[in-house]
Formats: sequence, structure tokens, C-alpha cells
Amino acid sequence: MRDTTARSAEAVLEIRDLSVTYGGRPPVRAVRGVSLRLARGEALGLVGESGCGKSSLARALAGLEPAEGQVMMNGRPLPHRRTREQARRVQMVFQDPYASLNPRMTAVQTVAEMLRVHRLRPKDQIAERARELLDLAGLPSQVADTRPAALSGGQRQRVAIARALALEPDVLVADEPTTALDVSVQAVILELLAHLRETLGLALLLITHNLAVVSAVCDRAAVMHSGEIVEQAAVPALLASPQHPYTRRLLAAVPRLGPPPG
Amino acid sequence: MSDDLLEVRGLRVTMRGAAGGRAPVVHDLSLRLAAGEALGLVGESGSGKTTTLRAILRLLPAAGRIAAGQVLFAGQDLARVRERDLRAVRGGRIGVVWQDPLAALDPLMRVGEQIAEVIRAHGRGASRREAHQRALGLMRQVELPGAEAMFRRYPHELSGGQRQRIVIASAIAAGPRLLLADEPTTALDVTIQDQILTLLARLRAELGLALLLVTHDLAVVWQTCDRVAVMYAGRIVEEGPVASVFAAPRHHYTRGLLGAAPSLEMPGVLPRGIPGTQPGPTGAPGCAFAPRCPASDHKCRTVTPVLAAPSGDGHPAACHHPLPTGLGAGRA
Repeated sequence: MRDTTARSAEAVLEIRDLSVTYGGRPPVRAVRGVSLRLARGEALGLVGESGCGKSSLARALAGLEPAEGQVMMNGRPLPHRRTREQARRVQMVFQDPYASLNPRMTAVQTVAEMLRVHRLRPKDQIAERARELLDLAGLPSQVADTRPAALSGGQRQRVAIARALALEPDVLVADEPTTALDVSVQAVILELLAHLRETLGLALLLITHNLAVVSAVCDRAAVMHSGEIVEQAAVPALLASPQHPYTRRLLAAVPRLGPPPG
Repeated sequence: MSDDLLEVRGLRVTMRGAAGGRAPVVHDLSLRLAAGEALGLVGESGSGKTTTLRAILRLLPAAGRIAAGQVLFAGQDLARVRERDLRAVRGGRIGVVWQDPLAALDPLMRVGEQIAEVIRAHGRGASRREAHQRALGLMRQVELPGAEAMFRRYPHELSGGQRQRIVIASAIAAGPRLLLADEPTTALDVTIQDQILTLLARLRAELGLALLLVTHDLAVVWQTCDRVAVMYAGRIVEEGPVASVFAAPRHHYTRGLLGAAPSLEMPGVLPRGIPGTQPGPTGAPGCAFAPRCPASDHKCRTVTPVLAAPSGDGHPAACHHPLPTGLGAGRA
């Protein structure tokens, strides 16, 4: 018993037997009793194909979707209805930054709004802090006063990341953060995520259909299929000796750049 | 005449901008495709790859126009033939597979009928019954289970992979020798993508089809194509056999693109991005990649490089300072 408590204290985020069910006849069980742990500063990849439940799981974690089961943050339960203080611990970055940013707000305004709503800085320091965060996310200062429409896809995703960082979260949940981006831009955003993780000690839950992205960025990976985690392992082990038939099927299907291995 | 099935010569496409002026989006593009060959046209969004494919079929959006160049196919210049002569080509002698099968199919028509329609439109006097039978045969050829029942389904009742199989069956229904495919697997899950690519490879071998594959995914090109042409800002910047281009890229953009793709073979290794972004359409002289290129100098910013073969062995690249042949492998 004591042992369990000690271990969950190490985990920045732990979910136990989490289920997400959508109404309808019959109801759809999108996430079925999933348990996961995320250590401080760790990068965990959640991999699966469309409809496997990975985005439902992410949204439940961020408190955007009602769920059964338990979400523990630093060893304490995180309810679905969260206080502001609780809400800011887990922040999300979405696939389409264009859809997740307010088109009428400049980059600075977008980040400043977060700081203001959560009262994280005195009024007179908000703008300065917003620029600092955008800088941290690698947005060129010349475009800090620009609206999303005039930004490139990569720049928009940087704004979305800066906005998430504004709340000084412990966990960043990134749901297909580079899927809408070109490969040369994807690489730059992955570098940024890895850098933030290292410098801020941020734990990262990276949700993606792309195993190669997980391979590049994550320490561990969990493979999701039909609402369940079918396999969980350190990335090199998962790639070298996948245990579950579905993981093997997924790995075999990834097109490779170069002669087939073996 | 060469034995090329398709030859594009000096294609220039312009788009009307919001301000009213016309901006070039494809510059002086030439490519050739031999019978039975598969060419991958690869590039990032905005590189002009889809515009090139659409220009070949003269299916440009209203703002687009072919400003110069020829599209030679079966002894005709498709850029100049009458619109009604194009109808026999589009979907007939050239089959087309689009990225989004749901958008390519008629939502109110049974999927089997959509294949039969292609057969009747292009197959001179096929009866309704014959067309129906041949559609069923095509559905079996693209490995759709239970063809009889599937024939009567509507697109929304099918999975994404099944829909794309219907689109492929329609594309080959009139017996084309050339297939154009625009990101045919991008909207699909990776396991389904694998099945569709395998299917395309099998059909190519069985039917002797040539393939022009437009994609952003280098690995898909590696798996599917014989040759690759890399596009950047409306131009082909490098072109050659897939093995040669991927093992020893000569253009700095191609090398950057190869290094930017994350790899399953190297866990824990971050891909290297290419700083900056691709410029929009511009008629300015110089290499469009120069602002992002580690090797660029004054000449790169003032003189537009042409796609030229090296003096020794190796494939053509449009670069003033190409990487040496045989060295600088992208996956090093």
C-alpha cells in the first residue's frame, strides 16, 4: 500500500482505469479502462490509428471530456470539473493551430489573454511576459503582433505552444501537433518540444498516428487499439521487439526510407 | 519522337492573385514518363506539385492558367486540344486518383454504378449489363470483398480504404496506360495506406500502367516509384532514379528534406528541420531556396539555377553549388 503511494508520487500524471463513453444507442466506449503513468519530464508517445480513442483519452486528461476512472496529478486526484489552479496543470496543443487560435487576436494577445484570465502576472507585466513566452516558443519577434492568418503553419503552432506554456503546466498533451505541417517544419516543432521538455522539465504526452515521430521524440510508447492500450514499452524495445500482433502490424505498415530492414 | 508516354515541356502556370496580378506558381517545368514507369513528384505544400498534376489534365482552378508549355500525351498537346477532346483523356486514357475519395465519389450514386458509368462513358457502346459485369470484375481486381453486395452500397457506407479502392477501380475502368495520383494515401491510416500502395504496385505490374504520383511523403516515393522529381517553389530542383537521389542528393533542399523525416531506424534521434519557410509565388531571379540554404552565396540570390546534369555520373540538380555525387548522403 505504502509502496503504491510512493510510486504515484513520482508520477506527475497517472490515470487509472479511465473510460470515455459517448452517448447513442448503443453507447460508444471510445476509451476502455486505460491506465498510464507519466513521470516528471518524461515523454510518452500514445500511438494509434483513427478511431482508436487516443484523442478522446487526451481530451479526458485535459478535462475537456467527461470520463470515468481516476486522473491523478502529483499523487492527488484531479476531478473532471477543475479549479483554475487544477486546470492549468495539464495543457493541450491541438493538431490544427488555425482552428485552435482566435483569428482576431495577434500572437501576443492570444498569450496575454491566458495570463490575464489565470491572473498569473500583474497587469503591467502581462505583455512583456507574453513576448517572453513567444520567444521561448521560437516565434520571431517581428511577427508577435501578427494575426494567425498571416502566420505560417509552423508559426501558428508556436503560438499555440506559447499559449500552453503561459500556464506553466506540468504536463503538455500534444494531439498530432505536427500532422498538419510539412515535414521540414515538423522537424523544427519536434526540436522545440524536445527542447522545452529538457529546459522546463515538462512531461510530454505526444499523441500521434506516426510511429517515426514517437521514435524521434519519446522515451516510452503506448500503442492504442479499439480503446485499449495493447502494448507499452520503452521506444527502442517496442521498435526492436514488438510483442502485440497489432503493434507488429502497425510497424510493418510504416513506409520506410531505405531498403527494408533485415 | 521518343518512347515517352507523357512529356511535359516548359510548363508555366500562373495564378491570379487577390490583388489582380498574375503570379507564376509553376516555372518552366519539364518532365517525362516512359510507359510502365513510376515517377514521384515530391514536395511540400505550396511547391506546385498538385498544380502541375492539375495542369496536365487542364483541371486548374478558375484563377489558374497555363501560360506556356506543352503537355504531350499520345501524340496530342493536352495544353492545346479542344475541351471535348480532353474528355476522352480525363478518366479515360489517363486515370486519376485523388487524395480524398469521399470528395471524388458521387454521394448519391451506388459505388458500383460509378464504376459502370466510367465504362459506359469511355467504352464505346458497352451495354448496361456489360458495364455492370465489368464493374464487378474491377471491384474484384481491387480486392473489394463481396463485390455483388458492395456494388449497391453508397460511398458513406464504405470505409476510407474501401472508397479509395472504388476510386482506383474507376480510374482503371477505361483501360488507361497512365495513372495520375494526388496524395492517394495521405488521408488514410498507415495500415490502410500500406494496403493501397501494395494494390497500386500490383495493378501497375499487371496492367503495365505508368504512374505519376504526387506526394509529400518521401518514404511513399521510395516504396512506390522508379524515379523522383523534387519540387520547390514551383520548380523541379532535382530529378533522378529514386535510389540515386535518396542515397546521394545533390540539391541542398533534397538533403534537408531527407534529414527532416523522422526515422524508425534511429530512435531518440531528432530529425533536423530546415529553418525558414518556402517562399510564395515570385518571379524574382535567383534560387528560391537560397534564403534557407547553408551553401548560398551572391550568385544563388541573383542567377536562377537550371536543372543540369553533372559532368560526371549522377543525376540533374538545379543548384549552383551542388553536393558532390556519391557523398553527402541524406540519411548519414
